[in-house]
Amino acid sequence: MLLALDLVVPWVVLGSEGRFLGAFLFWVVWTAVAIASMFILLLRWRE
Amino acid sequence: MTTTAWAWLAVAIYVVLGFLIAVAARRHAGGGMSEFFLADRRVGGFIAALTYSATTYSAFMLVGLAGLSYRGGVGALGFELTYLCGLFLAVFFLPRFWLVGRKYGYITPTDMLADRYQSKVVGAVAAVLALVFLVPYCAAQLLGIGLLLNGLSGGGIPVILGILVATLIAIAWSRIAGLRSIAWTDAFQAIVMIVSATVLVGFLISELGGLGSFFSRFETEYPELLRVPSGSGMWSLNMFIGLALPWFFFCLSNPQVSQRFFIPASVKAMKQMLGGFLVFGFVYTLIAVLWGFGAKLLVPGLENPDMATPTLLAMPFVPKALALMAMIGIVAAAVSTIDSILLTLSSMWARDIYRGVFNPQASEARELRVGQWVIPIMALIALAFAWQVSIRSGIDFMIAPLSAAASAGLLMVVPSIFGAFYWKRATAPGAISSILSGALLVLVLQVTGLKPLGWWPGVWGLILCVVVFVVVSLVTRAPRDKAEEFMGYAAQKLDSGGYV
Repeated sequence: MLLALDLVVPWVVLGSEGRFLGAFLFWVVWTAVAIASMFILLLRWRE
Repeated sequence: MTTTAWAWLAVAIYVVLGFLIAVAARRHAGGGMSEFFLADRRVGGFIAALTYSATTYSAFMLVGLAGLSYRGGVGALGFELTYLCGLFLAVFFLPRFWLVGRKYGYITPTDMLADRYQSKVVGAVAAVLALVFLVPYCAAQLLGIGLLLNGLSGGGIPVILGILVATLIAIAWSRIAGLRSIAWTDAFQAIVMIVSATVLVGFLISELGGLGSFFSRFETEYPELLRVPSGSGMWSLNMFIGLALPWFFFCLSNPQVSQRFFIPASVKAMKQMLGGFLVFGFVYTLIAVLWGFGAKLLVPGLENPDMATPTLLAMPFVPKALALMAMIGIVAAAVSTIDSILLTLSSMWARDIYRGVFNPQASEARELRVGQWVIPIMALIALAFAWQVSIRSGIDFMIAPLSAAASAGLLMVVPSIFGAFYWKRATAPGAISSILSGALLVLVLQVTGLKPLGWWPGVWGLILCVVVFVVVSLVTRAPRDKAEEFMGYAAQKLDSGGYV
């Protein structure tokens, strides 16, 4: 699902946008959200 | 001073500092396989994060990825960031590797597979897969260093001399104290990499009138490079998936990376390792892509996009000190990857091939000696490969496809890793046949250049690999007792540790 969005949004929705506010921004924000989610999960780890 | 003399001076400072760090690391070293290849599983979070980062990111970033951005635009960013999103796999597998590694004393990821599937052949086959695909990858890194030093010294440093120097550094830093010296020098090199790249891209942006001006000029001059597929014809969906799929599984498929899942000293160190790497990777990726975009604005029209970085660094407006710092940052990225691969391959040779197949009764001391001697041998094979390619243009057909096939080929071990932790029915014949069939298909497709239905070798290889793994496992006998014990232990510990 996450991977599908990673492909569908840039190619189908933003593919023709020739500005930084298109696929560039999507991938940056998408990855930042993914990293934040990973932090939430890994911060739960305990000894 | 001449350009060559400045380049040598920069290399000398880098090498001396690295040696001092490696020798300091040796003072903390003990004996045995676990100590030499895993730093006795006692690496702190900060060092673990930096060695993970330096090992993962090679010269590819500021040369290859910058070149891909230069030629193909924003798809390069998506491709590399998809790799970072693939670190979700590490959230699942890092604690699993770490827990079972401590419980059963695994030295290599393939050692783990051999035990879980109760078959030394599984470990040996997976180790051979890594040898086949990673040695040419090392050679490509060595060649990259040779070409970079040659280019930035104005031809003063011959390519073969650069290759030789890099090989000797990699051998020395891995032999001095094994993973301990590699981890410490990696930490130093990771700092060099990120600092030099940040300063470099900061300078570039300021040359272009600040971030706003840089963005608006790029949007005006190259809007097609902000689209996917790009106006240059790159980044069709097939190409993107073909490149991104092996990268997505990189943290599991590349043994020099997954072996680091065994090394954190504690849960806290494990969290810091993964968290630190995510931040490092995100920043470094953005820098590499922006660097490629900046090169497009400042040195447009290059036929070979891989020359974007060397060409830009050689421009008169780039201060010499900055160019040298960037050069050392790229060399550090390559060396830190090469020495880590050499150490991992030597541990696999000693544990999974020598002890696993040829001499099961070998003592740990003998196994360690074999591993230590394999390091220079592997390095010399990679050097010979790189050297031949540098002097005989006719055989470059070998290194390019093999290097490109490396990530796709290594992907074939991933179903066996998933099976080890999630499928009790998985068997050794399933693992062996899936690895061999998938790798063979990848090699054939890569060498012939065939892309059936437009899909890349890694995609076809993975499909075949998964099908063979499942079908063969279903018709052969699984090591039920081991699977119950292995997965039961992991499940119990994962439950009590708050892991997913």
